[in-house]
Order: sequence, then C-alpha cells, then structure tokens
Amino acid sequence: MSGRFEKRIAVRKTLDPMTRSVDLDGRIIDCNDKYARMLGYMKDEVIGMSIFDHTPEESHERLKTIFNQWRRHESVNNRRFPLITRSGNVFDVLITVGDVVGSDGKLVRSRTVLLDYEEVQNLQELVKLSKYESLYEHSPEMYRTVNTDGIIVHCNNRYAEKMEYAKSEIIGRNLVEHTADKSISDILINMAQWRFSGVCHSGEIWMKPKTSKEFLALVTPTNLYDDEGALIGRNVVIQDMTKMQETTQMLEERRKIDQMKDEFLTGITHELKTPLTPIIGFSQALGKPGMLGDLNKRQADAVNTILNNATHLKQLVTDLLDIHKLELGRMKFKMAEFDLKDLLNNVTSSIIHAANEKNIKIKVTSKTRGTIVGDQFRIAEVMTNILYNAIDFSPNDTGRIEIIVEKEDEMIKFSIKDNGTGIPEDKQSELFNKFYQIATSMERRHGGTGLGLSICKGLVEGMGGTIGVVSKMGEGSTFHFTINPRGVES
Amino acid sequence: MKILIIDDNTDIRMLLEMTINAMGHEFNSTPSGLEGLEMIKGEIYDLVLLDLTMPNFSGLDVLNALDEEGLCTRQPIVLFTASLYLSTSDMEEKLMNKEIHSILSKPSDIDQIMQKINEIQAEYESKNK
Repeated sequence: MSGRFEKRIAVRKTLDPMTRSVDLDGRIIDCNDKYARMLGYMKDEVIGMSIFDHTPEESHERLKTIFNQWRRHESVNNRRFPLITRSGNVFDVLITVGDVVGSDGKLVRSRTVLLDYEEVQNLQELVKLSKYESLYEHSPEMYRTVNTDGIIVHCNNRYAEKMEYAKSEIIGRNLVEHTADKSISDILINMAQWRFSGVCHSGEIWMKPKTSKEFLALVTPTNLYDDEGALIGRNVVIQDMTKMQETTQMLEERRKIDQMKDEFLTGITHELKTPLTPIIGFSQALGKPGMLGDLNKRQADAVNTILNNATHLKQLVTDLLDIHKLELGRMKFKMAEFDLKDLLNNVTSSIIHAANEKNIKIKVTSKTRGTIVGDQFRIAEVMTNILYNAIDFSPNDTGRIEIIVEKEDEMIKFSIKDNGTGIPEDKQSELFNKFYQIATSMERRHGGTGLGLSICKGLVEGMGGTIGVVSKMGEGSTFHFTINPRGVES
Repeated sequence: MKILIIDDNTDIRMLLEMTINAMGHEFNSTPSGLEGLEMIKGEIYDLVLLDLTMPNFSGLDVLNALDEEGLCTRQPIVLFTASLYLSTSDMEEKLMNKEIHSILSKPSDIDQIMQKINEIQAEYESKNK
C-alpha cells in the first residue's frame, strides 16, 4: 500500500505531471522525480528500466500496440492506461506521447506526459460538483480547467469547438500548446506568479486554434481548491476579443477621420479669413470720404452692400471657428481678475449705439459689486450677443432692456430682460441649438449667424455656468446665465 | 510715426500701406520675415505690424530672433494674424512669453487698424513728451 499512500500525499502536495522519455527499444532514458516517486523508485533506478517493468502484465499487449503506434508516428493522446508501482499497486494515468526527432528527421525518443487519472478526475469532479457546471458546459464562452502545471484537465464544448480539437485531444495538453507564440512568455509568467502567490490575474492572450487564425482573448481565471484548501488548479473563462478588437480598430479609424475633418475645417476657416481682410478693408476704404476718392450714391450703395455681406461672412467664419473649438473642447479661456463695473461699462458702451438707433432704453441693475475671476472678453461676448438679440426683437421707442447682475449661491448671475415679442414656449429649448433662428424671415439688423446662442451656451458652460431663458409671448424674454466668480481651469 | 509692415500677402500689405498713408504716417513694407528682421535691426521704428504665418521665416521666427538680441521691446510690435484660431498650432502658447504690444486678429476692418495705430501713437506721444 505504500505506493498508493505516497501517491495520495503527492496529490496533496503537488500536481506535477509525470514525465518520462523512452527510446525506440522502450527503455526509459529519462524521467522526472514525480514519475520515480509515484512508482516507488529512486530516479537513478528508473533510468534504464523498460516501460514494460512499469506496466501490469495484463496490459503488456496494449502497451505494445501503443508503443508501435508511436513508432509509426501515430499520435497517442490521453490514452487511459495502468501503471504498476514497485510494491505492486496499480493506478491509472492518461498517457500523451510526444516525439523527439533527430536532425535527420527520424524519431529518436519519446517525451511522454502521464497524468494521474485520479488527479484529473478530482479536478473534473470539482468542476462538475460546482453549481456552475451547467453554465460551464453550455456557456457561449470558452471554459477550460488547468492544474497548477498548466495542464488542461477539462474544457467545455465551446472551447473544443473554437480550438478545433476533440475534447479528448485537449485533456492532458499543456495550455502552452493552445497559446500563440507571442503570448507564451506572458502565460508562463502568469502561471509562475499564480503558482507562487495563488493570485489569479486576468489578462489578454493570443489563442492558437488548430488551423484557424490566432485570436486575442480575455482570460479570467478562478482558483480551485481541494477539500483541504490546497490550490489545485484554476477555472478559466476565455472570451474571444476579435469582435471587440475590430470595434476598437473601427473606432480608432473613425477617430482619425474625425480628426482629419476637424483639421480640415480649422484649416479652411483660417484660409477663408485671409482674403476677407482686404475685401472688408478696401470696401471700407472706398466708403471713407477722401481716402480713395468720392463715390456717387449708387457706387456707395454697392460698396456698402459688399461690405455688409463681407462682414456677415467674417462673423460666420469667426462663429464657426468658435463653435468648432467649443465642440472639440479646445476653447481656451483667459482667466484674470476684473471689476464687474468695468465689464458692464464695456458691454453697454459697445451696444449703446445700436440701442440708441432704435431709441431703446438700457438700464443696468448691479446687486453685487467688486472683482471676480473670469474671462472678461468671453463674458462680454455672451452678454453682447444676448443684448443684440434683445435690441433686434424689441420695439422701436418703447423698447426697454434691463441688465441685472446678482449673486446666486456661489455663482454670479447675469440676466438680460427685454419687453420684446417673446419666444413661444415650444421654441425655447431649441434656441440654443446650432443654426436655430427664431423668425428668420424677420429683418435682423444685427445679422445673426444662427450660431450666436449656441456659442453663448458653449462659452457659459465652458466657464462653469449654465444658461437659459424665461419668456412669454407678448411679455418679453429674460435670458440669464451664471459664471463661476472664482474662474475655471481651461 | 514710422511704421514697418511685414506681411507676405500683397493685398493686405497694400491695405495697410493705404491706411497708414491716409493717416499721414510714414511706412516701409516687406513681404519677407527675414528682410523685415534686418530692417528692424537697422532702424528704430515706432511700430512694427507683423504677420504670423509667412513662408520660410515666420513672424514667430522674427520674434525669436529679436528676443535673442533683446530687441523685442525696443519698439511696439503688433501681431496682425489670423492664426490664433488655428487650433492645431498652439500659437497662443508659443506667444505667451513673447514681449509683443498686442495682437490684432485678421480679419480686422480698417477702423480697428486705425484705432490700433492711434492707440500706439497716443502712447508714443505721451512717452516723448
């Protein structure tokens, strides 16, 4: 019984496979320690013995068959076969025979792996006993179970199908054989770390099916322990990442195209600006008395029309660039401390001319004072934009616009209130969309590009605030936005 | 005042020349950054209008060369450029440390150009009082 006892101890301690190397006469020329120990010998004693010495007599005929198969280069995979120990105990192993071939291509010796059938069964039992057995067996994902040496002791149908082997061809193989060359070192390192620490790391490896192309897989292991808590193997879920890899590649390509489009748009808008400078400049010069000679009325009107349209185009180009920068998150804000009073003065003086033309009164109500940190230029841009809209939509002579600045929670709130036509409720949410213009047919003195409010929204949000509108038809509108008075990082 | 215009675009140069002329100032102009650099080294201008994107020797090259010789602050330099919006160029960052007077972004109308020149003239006059 001593052999059997030795064997049981061995199961507990390690799950190394037994290996032996056999020459063409069936003589054992090498073996590992476990092989010798399991059979109750010292390693030195085993070398030179015949494989028939380790096979029970009743199985000698079968051994001959297997041995001859091997010599004829036929594969021997996971053949269940008995071994006999020195003290006469018989136990089963799964035999897999590999070839060592000389430089002349002729068979020199075998490299035989023998797995203790009981160990394999134990692991398979463990898998079967688990309540996940059904999930394991019928999962659409690949599952395999390996012992601490990386020998595959069990796998599910899906695994066999994807790897293009029969299950019987898989059991007993080292997982390295199913691993693409480029991932072998990864998996060996992973296995070594795992054996040492018991910690399973998931990771990506390239799998090597029998004939199909290698594929990338996400490998997620779970430890298996025996009754006494010793680590005996791991259950591994293997997910084919090909689809995800393709998706990632597609996304990457799409990102590149987007980037090209972005660069094209930025480039083309830039190119558009250069010729605009002389167009606008010379039309202005023609209109200035004394600069390039006087024009008659029709000529002056024509030049003025060129100028108005060129100016509109310039605004459109600038707005497009701003929108583009906001959308790409490339808008840079220049944060600096400034006095709210200066901001309000600058804004009102820039629009007062337009307001005076329509005889519209502007009132400023400042409920908070002092300095804040922010991009004064951009805040002014938002205010002017809203104010020009308010002027455009307010009636001549009776138009009233009020600018209110106040603290709201930790923010500064700007409100611009007009007594204009008002905005229908169902249109209010669309106002801040690109190219949305309410009542486009209405004559707009300040020639909106349809981008103004969407730029305002982008700018305000970029400066950490929110923007909105409250309006009722016939009662005017109030646009309001908030700004973080401590600035934002850009 | 004597103003130097450095811009590779003939039309824009012509516009600037005409405006400056109408304002009664003197000017020199060149389409080449390198030539402009030599002119700044050779003579003290009251204002340099410098384009940023020029072939071979850009406005940034001019600024870098002037910086090395400590000539950036000898006269006010106003950048006249459309490139600040070029998101790929990070021009703003490159200009961060340069001692320029201000930036006039294209497309500017001539009122803005004239306003800028008047602003510099006012500073020039208050300094020379």
